[in-house]
Amino acid sequence: MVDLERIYREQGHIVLRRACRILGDEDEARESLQEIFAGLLARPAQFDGKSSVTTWLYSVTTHFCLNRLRSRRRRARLAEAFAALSSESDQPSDLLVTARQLLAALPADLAAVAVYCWIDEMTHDEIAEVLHCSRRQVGYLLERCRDQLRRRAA
Amino acid sequence: MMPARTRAAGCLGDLRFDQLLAGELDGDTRVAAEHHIEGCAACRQLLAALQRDRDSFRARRPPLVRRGRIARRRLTVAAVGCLAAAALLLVLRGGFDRPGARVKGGPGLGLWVKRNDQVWRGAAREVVYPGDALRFTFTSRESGYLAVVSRDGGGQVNIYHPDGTIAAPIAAGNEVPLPGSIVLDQVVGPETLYVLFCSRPISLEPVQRALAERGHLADWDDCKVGAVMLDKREDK
Repeated sequence: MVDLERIYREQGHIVLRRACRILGDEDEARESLQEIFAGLLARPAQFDGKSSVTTWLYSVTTHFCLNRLRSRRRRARLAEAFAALSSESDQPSDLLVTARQLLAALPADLAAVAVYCWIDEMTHDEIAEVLHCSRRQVGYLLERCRDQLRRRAA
Repeated sequence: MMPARTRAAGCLGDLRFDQLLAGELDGDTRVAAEHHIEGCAACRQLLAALQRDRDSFRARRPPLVRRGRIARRRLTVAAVGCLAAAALLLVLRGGFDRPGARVKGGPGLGLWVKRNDQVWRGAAREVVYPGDALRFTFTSRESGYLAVVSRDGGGQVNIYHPDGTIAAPIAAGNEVPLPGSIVLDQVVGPETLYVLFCSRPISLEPVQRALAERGHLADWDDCKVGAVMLDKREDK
């Protein structure tokens, strides 16, 4: 059985750092850290050992924070992001800003890949490792993500 | 917060750095990563920043609250009645106090315990179990800066209040509730709570280190210090 309390002590900083980046709020990130590990402690069988602990923590943090973003009542910011998208370029930095603002509105699979690509700056190989899919699938998901963002701006 | 960055082509990403620091990279991948870091100043800087972030987290040792949602819910202290006249759990004099001692007008810590749907006022040597939620109140005629630090049965030192590493301001008042609550983890044995009521916002990291090294805390500059033990037992 995985020692979750040891993982919290030794690698909890990873969860906190990524939650901070995704949510953009330190207090909310600290609360998320506690809730993520509280959930893991309640259901330790979630870790199946198929990936490294770090990869697994990346995945659970992303999913938790995306759910948190979806429940945020900040729809006004999405409207601003839509307006920003109408003059978007293909520059990664613009997509980073808009991806963060639109994460709550994207389907779960596309939101996750958007986080890994534009917030974590992972390569396609690294994203494939976290998502347990092929590199080609990652490319396909990113293309769908870009399409969704552009469509929402239209 | 770690600063954002734009990853240059060929450089390592956070995932690889985190795996490297956790010892999870296999032989060839690890060698390639270390070789790249040796020749890349940007990656060396980022690795150092991630190591500092990791070390800072480990040094702070924020307690792992088993039920995050409970930690954010307020125990309904008011619902069990305002017991202003009840004995405080611990009264501070400037050194260790006898648990349960009362000094008229002295600052003091109150304890509430929640188990399932029951809430009651705790006393010195209160028997508690993993999963119990603790909520503190503080009584003082003057304002100051407050911290509650715990040393559990395994020797681990945690800051119960505040949510950070600097003693937090506390207003004068009677049974002023401290924010949030602490849900006890699985470590059993005598757990000692140290209360520091200070004239200035002291850093708590030296307090943690001193408590971890010495096993007890009798005094601290610019603070009144008190200690009280809880009897944390295994849930059967």
